[in-house]
Amino acid sequence: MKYTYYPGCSVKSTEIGYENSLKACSEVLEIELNELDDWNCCGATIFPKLNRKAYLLLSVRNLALAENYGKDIVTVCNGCLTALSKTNFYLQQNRDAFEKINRVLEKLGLNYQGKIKVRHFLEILIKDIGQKKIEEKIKKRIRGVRVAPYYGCQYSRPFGPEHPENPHYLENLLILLGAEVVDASFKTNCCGGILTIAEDNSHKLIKSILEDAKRLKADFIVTICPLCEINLQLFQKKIGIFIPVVYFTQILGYCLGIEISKLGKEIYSFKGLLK
Amino acid sequence: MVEKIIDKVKICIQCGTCSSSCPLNFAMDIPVRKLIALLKAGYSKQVLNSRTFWLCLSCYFCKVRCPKKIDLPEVMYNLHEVCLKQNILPENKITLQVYRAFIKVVNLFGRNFEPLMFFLSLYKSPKKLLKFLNLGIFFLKTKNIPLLPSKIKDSRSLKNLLKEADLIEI
Repeated sequence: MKYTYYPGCSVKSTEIGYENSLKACSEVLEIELNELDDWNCCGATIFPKLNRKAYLLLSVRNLALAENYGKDIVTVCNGCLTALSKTNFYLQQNRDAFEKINRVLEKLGLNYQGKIKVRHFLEILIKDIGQKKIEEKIKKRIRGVRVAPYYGCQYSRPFGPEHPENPHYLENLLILLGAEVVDASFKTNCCGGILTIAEDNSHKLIKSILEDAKRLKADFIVTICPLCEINLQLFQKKIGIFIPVVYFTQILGYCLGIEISKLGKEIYSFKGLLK
Repeated sequence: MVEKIIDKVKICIQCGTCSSSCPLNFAMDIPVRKLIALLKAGYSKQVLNSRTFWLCLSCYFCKVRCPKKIDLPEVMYNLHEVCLKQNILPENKITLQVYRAFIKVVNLFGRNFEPLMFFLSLYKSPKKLLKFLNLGIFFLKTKNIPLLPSKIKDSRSLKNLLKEADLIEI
């Protein structure tokens, strides 16, 4: 299976462990990820607030670049997933805006036809690769640990591949890996996003997630978005509840028998839980 | 500009699903439902001076639950833009500082460079910066801090393109 890989900014800097584990897993599962050359920031949730039109241009540039590759875009960041697919949706609804944006984009020598789909790597795993193939490749299972799945907001909302408030692909994957999955009602709640820098009120959202995970006796939280991981980890010291947070690709990589040193530093907090 | 926003919320039936779905409802001076009512009734001054939309997290709970399918996050976003055009600034100055820092960094490199974005966000609020650095020491053990930004090939032409964004009539 071939895809165009859109990394996003955080995966290339502080969250490089996420990307490393993603690449290692893809290799084992025979998924070919071609990184989009010269990609730019997706605009996140900030550009649409202060400059909506600049946000559209940023996203369309990525989509237009990806169109030359002819394959669906795959990303591991919920923010990028939503920013890019929201632009796609908007352009399909507004043909007039589509033309006008393309006219501006011509200055960069680009043109977008609207043929690219944007998908999360989790969806690819379950839908395209399939649980059967993953099961064949599993070398070890993580028995005896309680895991809380955490999707965050923008995987399933507003244009996700699953039910907006009750997705289940992550649970499917974790059960496959042998984990005991707790019924986390907070799984699509918000982590505070970028507002955690400016707004102390948003730390209450993180607190309630960590408290719930603790109450459910989860040994760790598995997440699928870089910003969620950063927020859930960074504020633990302030809140006073300590639970390891790791990426789903790191757990998957561990079970696929990939060397731990290749899976990013977050995995060390998880390794301690395994007897 | 405000008229366009009012157009989007005309069909609101005031059920309050948005307010009760919003995770930051408790921190808002005007709950979302009331904000929409004020907008429809023409009290745009109160609306623009509230802190409500500056607290929007983009979690999309309100959007997926709205029985009239109003795109509320988009309404909140548009209110930001109107405020900036009329030079109405938020009560919490840091919010805008963070947003502008992000936009500045993306304009420079075509991508976000977190260390610089973080510094630009908080250099005017040293107390907060120190608090974050204190939290960061624990956090950074599992992280990799980039020293140099990753850039797109022609960041200048992208910057010029973004300047033209305002001229597009959509």
